[in-house]
Amino acid sequence: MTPSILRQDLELLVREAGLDKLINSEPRFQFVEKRLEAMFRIFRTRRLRHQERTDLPLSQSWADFMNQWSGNPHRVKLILNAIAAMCSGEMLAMLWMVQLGAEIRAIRVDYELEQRVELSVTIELPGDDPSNETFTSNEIWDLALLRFSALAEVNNLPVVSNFTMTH
Amino acid sequence: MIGGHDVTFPFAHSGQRGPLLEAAVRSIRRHWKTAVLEGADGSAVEFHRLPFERVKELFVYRDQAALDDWNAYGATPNNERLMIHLLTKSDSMTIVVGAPDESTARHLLAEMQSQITNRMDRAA
Repeated sequence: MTPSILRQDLELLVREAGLDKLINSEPRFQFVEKRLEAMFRIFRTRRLRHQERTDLPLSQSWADFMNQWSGNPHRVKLILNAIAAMCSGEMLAMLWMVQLGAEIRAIRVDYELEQRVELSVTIELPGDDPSNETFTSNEIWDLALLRFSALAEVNNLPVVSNFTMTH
Repeated sequence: MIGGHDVTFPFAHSGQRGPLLEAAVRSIRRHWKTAVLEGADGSAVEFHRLPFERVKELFVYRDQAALDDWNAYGATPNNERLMIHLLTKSDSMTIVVGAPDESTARHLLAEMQSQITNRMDRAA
Protein backbone atom coordinates (compact mmCIF):
# COMPACT_ATOMS: atom_id res chain seq x y z
CA MET A 1 0.00 0.00 0.00
CA THR A 2 1.30 3.42 -0.90
CA PRO A 3 1.88 5.58 2.17
CA SER A 4 -0.23 8.69 2.20
CA ILE A 5 1.00 11.76 0.46
CA LEU A 6 1.61 14.44 3.04
CA ARG A 7 -0.23 17.57 2.02
CA GLN A 8 2.16 19.85 3.87
CA ASP A 9 5.13 18.41 1.96
CA LEU A 10 3.26 18.52 -1.33
CA GLU A 11 2.46 22.19 -0.81
CA LEU A 12 6.15 22.84 -0.23
CA LEU A 13 7.14 21.03 -3.44
CA VAL A 14 4.50 22.85 -5.46
CA ARG A 15 5.76 26.18 -4.12
CA GLU A 16 9.42 25.35 -4.76
CA ALA A 17 8.55 24.18 -8.29
CA GLY A 18 6.96 27.57 -8.94
CA LEU A 19 3.56 26.01 -9.55
CA ASP A 20 1.72 27.55 -6.59
CA LYS A 21 -0.22 29.99 -8.78
CA LEU A 22 -1.54 27.06 -10.81
CA ILE A 23 -2.03 24.44 -8.12
CA ASN A 24 -3.80 26.60 -5.58
CA SER A 25 -7.07 24.97 -4.59
CA GLU A 26 -8.29 21.85 -2.84
CA PRO A 27 -9.57 20.15 -6.03
CA ARG A 28 -6.26 20.82 -7.78
CA PHE A 29 -4.21 19.42 -4.93
CA GLN A 30 -6.46 16.37 -4.91
CA PHE A 31 -5.87 16.02 -8.65
CA VAL A 32 -2.10 16.09 -8.12
CA GLU A 33 -2.34 13.53 -5.32
CA LYS A 34 -4.40 11.16 -7.45
CA ARG A 35 -1.98 11.43 -10.36
CA LEU A 36 0.98 10.75 -8.07
CA GLU A 37 -0.78 7.72 -6.59
CA ALA A 38 -1.49 6.46 -10.11
CA MET A 39 2.16 6.99 -11.02
CA PHE A 40 3.35 4.93 -8.03
CA ARG A 41 0.79 2.19 -8.75
CA ILE A 42 1.59 1.88 -12.47
CA PHE A 43 5.32 2.08 -11.79
CA ARG A 44 5.05 -0.97 -9.54
CA THR A 45 2.88 -2.94 -11.97
CA ARG A 46 5.16 -2.29 -14.93
CA ARG A 47 8.34 -2.80 -12.94
CA LEU A 48 7.21 -6.20 -11.64
CA ARG A 49 7.03 -7.53 -15.21
CA HIS A 50 10.80 -7.36 -15.41
CA GLN A 51 11.64 -9.16 -12.16
CA GLU A 52 15.43 -9.32 -11.68
CA ARG A 53 16.32 -8.14 -15.18
CA THR A 54 16.56 -4.52 -14.13
CA ASP A 55 18.09 -2.72 -11.19
CA LEU A 56 15.27 -0.17 -11.01
CA PRO A 57 13.65 -0.21 -7.56
CA LEU A 58 10.66 -2.54 -7.24
CA SER A 59 8.34 0.21 -6.18
CA GLN A 60 8.20 3.89 -5.44
CA SER A 61 6.38 5.76 -2.73
CA TRP A 62 5.83 9.25 -1.47
CA ALA A 63 8.87 8.82 0.80
CA ASP A 64 11.03 7.94 -2.22
CA PHE A 65 9.65 10.96 -4.06
CA MET A 66 10.56 13.23 -1.15
CA ASN A 67 14.04 11.68 -0.96
CA GLN A 68 14.57 12.54 -4.62
CA TRP A 69 13.62 16.12 -3.84
CA SER A 70 16.67 16.57 -1.62
CA GLY A 71 19.21 15.31 -4.15
CA ASN A 72 17.49 15.59 -7.52
CA PRO A 73 14.91 18.37 -7.35
CA HIS A 74 14.88 18.59 -11.15
CA ARG A 75 13.29 15.11 -11.29
CA VAL A 76 10.52 16.06 -8.90
CA LYS A 77 9.91 19.38 -10.66
CA LEU A 78 9.54 17.52 -13.95
CA ILE A 79 6.82 15.26 -12.55
CA LEU A 80 4.92 18.14 -10.96
CA ASN A 81 5.07 20.10 -14.21
CA ALA A 82 3.91 17.05 -16.16
CA ILE A 83 0.96 16.67 -13.78
CA ALA A 84 0.16 20.36 -14.17
CA ALA A 85 0.16 19.72 -17.93
CA MET A 86 -2.40 16.93 -17.31
CA CYS A 87 -0.14 14.00 -18.23
CA SER A 88 -1.70 10.61 -17.45
CA GLY A 89 -0.59 8.18 -14.75
CA GLU A 90 0.71 5.90 -17.50
CA MET A 91 3.06 8.53 -18.88
CA LEU A 92 4.03 9.75 -15.41
CA ALA A 93 5.17 6.22 -14.53
CA MET A 94 7.22 6.17 -17.74
CA LEU A 95 8.70 9.59 -16.91
CA TRP A 96 9.64 8.44 -13.43
CA MET A 97 11.32 5.29 -14.74
CA VAL A 98 13.33 7.47 -17.11
CA GLN A 99 14.26 9.75 -14.22
CA LEU A 100 15.55 6.77 -12.29
CA GLY A 101 17.74 5.55 -15.15
CA ALA A 102 15.68 4.05 -17.97
CA GLU A 103 16.67 5.04 -21.49
CA ILE A 104 14.29 6.42 -24.12
CA ARG A 105 14.46 4.05 -27.09
CA ALA A 106 11.56 5.22 -29.25
CA ILE A 107 8.82 7.86 -29.34
CA ARG A 108 5.96 7.55 -31.79
CA VAL A 109 3.26 10.16 -32.27
CA ASP A 110 0.21 9.66 -34.48
CA TYR A 111 -2.09 12.66 -34.54
CA GLU A 112 -4.80 13.76 -36.92
CA LEU A 113 -7.00 16.76 -36.36
CA GLU A 114 -10.25 15.83 -34.63
CA GLN A 115 -9.60 12.19 -35.51
CA ARG A 116 -7.04 10.56 -33.29
CA VAL A 117 -4.00 10.90 -31.13
CA GLU A 118 -1.69 8.13 -30.06
CA LEU A 119 1.54 8.54 -28.20
CA SER A 120 3.82 5.59 -27.63
CA VAL A 121 7.08 5.70 -25.70
CA THR A 122 9.38 2.70 -25.44
CA ILE A 123 12.03 2.73 -22.76
CA GLU A 124 14.84 0.37 -21.92
CA LEU A 125 15.07 -0.52 -18.25
CA PRO A 126 18.65 -0.47 -16.97
CA GLY A 127 20.47 -3.57 -15.77
CA ASP A 128 22.68 -6.47 -16.76
CA ASP A 129 19.90 -7.83 -18.96
CA PRO A 130 18.16 -4.71 -20.35
CA SER A 131 14.53 -5.13 -21.35
CA ASN A 132 12.02 -2.80 -22.98
CA GLU A 133 8.70 -1.51 -21.74
CA THR A 134 6.23 0.44 -23.89
CA PHE A 135 3.75 3.01 -22.59
CA THR A 136 0.90 4.25 -24.76
CA SER A 137 -1.75 6.92 -24.45
CA ASN A 138 -4.68 8.27 -26.44
CA GLU A 139 -4.93 11.45 -24.40
CA ILE A 140 -4.02 14.68 -26.18
CA TRP A 141 -2.62 16.14 -22.96
CA ASP A 142 0.16 13.57 -22.91
CA LEU A 143 1.72 15.20 -25.96
CA ALA A 144 2.82 17.90 -23.50
CA LEU A 145 5.66 15.65 -22.42
CA LEU A 146 7.37 16.26 -25.76
CA ARG A 147 8.18 19.76 -24.56
CA PHE A 148 10.26 18.20 -21.77
CA SER A 149 12.47 16.28 -24.21
CA ALA A 150 16.22 16.85 -23.87
CA LEU A 151 17.43 16.80 -27.45
CA ALA A 152 20.91 16.14 -28.75
CA GLU A 153 22.65 15.18 -31.92
CA VAL A 154 25.55 12.72 -31.96
CA ASN A 155 27.33 12.07 -35.25
CA ASN A 156 24.36 13.77 -36.95
CA LEU A 157 22.03 11.17 -35.44
CA PRO A 158 19.09 12.10 -33.19
CA VAL A 159 19.15 11.47 -29.45
CA VAL A 160 16.38 12.16 -26.95
CA SER A 161 18.51 11.69 -23.88
CA ASN A 162 15.98 12.42 -21.17
CA PHE A 163 12.82 14.21 -20.17
CA THR A 164 13.84 17.14 -18.04
CA MET A 165 13.02 20.70 -17.02
CA THR A 166 16.48 22.12 -17.66
CA HIS A 167 18.08 21.99 -21.07
CA MET B 1 43.05 11.63 -13.46
CA ILE B 2 46.75 11.97 -14.20
CA GLY B 3 47.45 11.91 -17.92
CA GLY B 4 43.78 12.20 -18.88
CA HIS B 5 42.28 14.59 -21.39
CA ASP B 6 40.10 17.31 -19.80
CA VAL B 7 37.18 19.02 -21.47
CA THR B 8 35.29 21.69 -19.51
CA PHE B 9 31.71 22.66 -20.30
CA PRO B 10 30.51 25.95 -18.75
CA PHE B 11 26.91 26.05 -17.54
CA ALA B 12 24.49 28.68 -18.80
CA HIS B 13 23.11 28.89 -15.24
CA SER B 14 23.68 27.16 -11.91
CA GLY B 15 20.45 25.16 -12.25
CA GLN B 16 22.11 23.06 -14.94
CA ARG B 17 24.60 21.45 -12.58
CA GLY B 18 22.58 18.43 -11.42
CA PRO B 19 20.72 17.79 -14.70
CA LEU B 20 23.85 18.02 -16.87
CA LEU B 21 25.94 15.80 -14.63
CA GLU B 22 23.07 13.34 -14.81
CA ALA B 23 22.98 13.75 -18.60
CA ALA B 24 26.68 12.89 -18.81
CA VAL B 25 26.19 9.72 -16.76
CA ARG B 26 23.18 8.77 -18.89
CA SER B 27 25.26 9.15 -22.03
CA ILE B 28 27.99 6.90 -20.65
CA ARG B 29 25.51 4.26 -19.48
CA ARG B 30 24.00 4.18 -22.95
CA HIS B 31 27.27 2.62 -24.13
CA TRP B 32 28.50 0.95 -20.97
CA LYS B 33 25.33 -0.93 -19.98
CA THR B 34 26.91 -2.38 -16.85
CA ALA B 35 28.74 0.76 -15.80
CA VAL B 36 29.69 1.06 -12.13
CA LEU B 37 29.51 4.47 -10.46
CA GLU B 38 31.89 5.42 -7.68
CA GLY B 39 31.78 8.53 -5.53
CA ALA B 40 34.76 10.63 -4.50
CA ASP B 41 34.97 8.65 -1.25
CA GLY B 42 35.40 5.39 -3.15
CA SER B 43 31.95 4.02 -2.40
CA ALA B 44 29.76 2.48 -5.11
CA VAL B 45 26.57 4.41 -5.84
CA GLU B 46 23.39 3.49 -7.71
CA PHE B 47 22.20 5.81 -10.45
CA HIS B 48 18.67 6.20 -9.14
CA ARG B 49 19.87 7.06 -5.62
CA LEU B 50 22.65 9.43 -6.65
CA PRO B 51 21.95 13.04 -5.55
CA PHE B 52 23.25 14.70 -8.71
CA GLU B 53 22.57 18.16 -7.33
CA ARG B 54 25.14 17.65 -4.58
CA VAL B 55 27.73 15.44 -6.27
CA LYS B 56 31.00 17.20 -7.07
CA GLU B 57 33.01 14.28 -8.34
CA LEU B 58 32.13 10.94 -9.86
CA PHE B 59 34.01 8.05 -11.44
CA VAL B 60 32.23 5.92 -14.03
CA TYR B 61 33.81 2.55 -14.85
CA ARG B 62 32.82 0.40 -17.81
CA ASP B 63 32.00 -2.53 -15.51
CA GLN B 64 32.99 -4.16 -12.25
CA ALA B 65 36.08 -5.71 -13.84
CA ALA B 66 37.30 -2.25 -14.85
CA LEU B 67 36.79 -0.95 -11.32
CA ASP B 68 38.66 -3.94 -9.89
CA ASP B 69 41.52 -3.35 -12.31
CA TRP B 70 41.77 0.33 -11.37
CA ASN B 71 41.69 -0.56 -7.68
CA ALA B 72 44.45 -3.13 -8.15
CA TYR B 73 46.80 -1.31 -10.49
CA GLY B 74 45.74 2.34 -10.74
CA ALA B 75 45.80 3.91 -14.20
CA THR B 76 47.49 1.74 -16.81
CA PRO B 77 47.57 1.87 -20.61
CA ASN B 78 45.15 -1.07 -20.57
CA ASN B 79 42.48 0.39 -18.29
CA GLU B 80 42.65 4.15 -18.90
CA ARG B 81 39.92 3.84 -21.52
CA LEU B 82 37.65 2.05 -19.08
CA MET B 83 36.94 4.92 -16.69
CA ILE B 84 35.56 8.43 -17.11
CA HIS B 85 35.98 11.05 -14.40
CA LEU B 86 33.35 13.76 -13.98
CA LEU B 87 33.81 16.88 -11.85
CA THR B 88 31.38 19.72 -11.32
CA LYS B 89 31.64 23.21 -9.94
CA SER B 90 28.82 25.71 -9.61
CA ASP B 91 29.51 27.07 -13.08
CA SER B 92 30.97 24.18 -15.08
CA MET B 93 31.47 20.47 -15.54
CA THR B 94 34.80 18.91 -16.46
CA ILE B 95 34.96 15.54 -18.16
CA VAL B 96 38.25 13.68 -17.93
CA VAL B 97 38.73 10.77 -20.30
CA GLY B 98 41.71 8.49 -20.74
CA ALA B 99 41.32 8.34 -24.50
CA PRO B 100 39.08 10.90 -26.24
CA ASP B 101 38.96 8.73 -29.37
CA GLU B 102 37.45 5.79 -27.48
CA SER B 103 33.86 5.19 -28.61
CA THR B 104 32.03 5.94 -25.34
CA ALA B 105 34.17 9.00 -24.59
CA ARG B 106 33.70 10.29 -28.12
CA HIS B 107 29.92 9.92 -27.93
CA LEU B 108 29.83 11.50 -24.49
CA LEU B 109 31.82 14.55 -25.52
CA ALA B 110 29.77 14.99 -28.70
CA GLU B 111 26.50 14.67 -26.80
CA MET B 112 27.51 17.12 -24.10
CA GLN B 113 28.72 19.54 -26.75
CA SER B 114 25.36 19.16 -28.45
CA GLN B 115 23.34 19.68 -25.28
CA ILE B 116 25.30 22.46 -23.67
CA THR B 117 26.51 24.73 -26.43
CA ASN B 118 24.06 27.05 -28.05
CA ARG B 119 22.47 25.37 -31.04
CA MET B 120 22.55 28.54 -33.11
CA ASP B 121 26.31 28.85 -32.58
CA ARG B 122 26.82 25.34 -33.85
CA ALA B 123 24.56 25.88 -36.84
CA ALA B 124 26.31 29.10 -37.91
